[in-house]
Amino acid sequence: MTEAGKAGEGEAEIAPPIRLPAGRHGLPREFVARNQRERILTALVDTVAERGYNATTVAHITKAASVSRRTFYEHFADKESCFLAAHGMVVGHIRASIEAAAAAFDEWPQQVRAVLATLLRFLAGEPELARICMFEPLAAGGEIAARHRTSMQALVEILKAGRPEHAGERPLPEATEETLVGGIVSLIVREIAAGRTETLEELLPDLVELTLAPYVGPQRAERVARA
Amino acid sequence: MVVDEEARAKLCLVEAQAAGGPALERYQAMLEKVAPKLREGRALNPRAERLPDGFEVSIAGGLAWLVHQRLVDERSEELKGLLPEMLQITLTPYVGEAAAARAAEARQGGCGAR
Repeated sequence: MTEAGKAGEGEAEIAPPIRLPAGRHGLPREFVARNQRERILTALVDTVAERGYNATTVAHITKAASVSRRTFYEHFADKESCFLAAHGMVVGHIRASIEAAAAAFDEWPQQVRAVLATLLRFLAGEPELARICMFEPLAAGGEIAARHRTSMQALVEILKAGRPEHAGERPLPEATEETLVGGIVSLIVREIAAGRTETLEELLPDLVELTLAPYVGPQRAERVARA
Repeated sequence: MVVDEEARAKLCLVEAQAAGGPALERYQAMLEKVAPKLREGRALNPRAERLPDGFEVSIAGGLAWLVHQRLVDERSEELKGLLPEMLQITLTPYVGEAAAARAAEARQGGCGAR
């Protein structure tokens, strides 16, 4: 895990855990359980990154985590709930990071730039976690896909805050934010699918420009994007 | 078309992503295929020539996302009403807000007449 992923709450939860010594070690029960849970989550992230969510089985996860199936099921009901726990932690970390990034600026266009920069930097620095939060939910379907859509709603709300910036004679279409977020997701997923996760930050100027343009006009959007 | 052929639309837009692998690649390729058609709009406005490179793919992806969300949530009946907005969002960068809004309003009339 790189430095980008170590900062902030939630992230430490899925940092590579310490492998406990086998047999009787005299460690407190709670510590053991927490360590096992972290190992399982780390194993899920690694295994899903390697095989994809649909091809990953509980057996793959338990093998990678060096825990028994019984231990796995003591912590999670099934593979989906394990994935949701990992996804929730990653998304929680991203949300806290982008909120902090936005809070550092007074002007909405600069806030959007900071939010996108933070998101791309995190994803580029953590390719496995990028798959967990942006790519695999599309393939997973069900509750995981629903959770993904809910998490993307946070971006929709950030963009909606920019409506007062719009100086046009007519209001922006209601679907503007949803379309923009869908476009951002598409471009990010395209890069991840092409194996270019680590260069995601190169997308920043384009993403900022196309996101801001409907609100502040193309000239100002370009200035903020290329600053 | 999506409303009339909901099952096929789900296959292309929802199941293709869920299947992953080659099906997902085909979905991505579909978005890339739409992009050149949209890119023709850059000729309508000198300013549009300066749009970011990925703009058309993002618009195609954004529109597909709108449809995808409604298909997954069983809200496909909203799609016909959404068409004017989709048209306006797509056209604005190429023809400007006023012309795009007029086109959307014309389409709104068309939707109502159907």
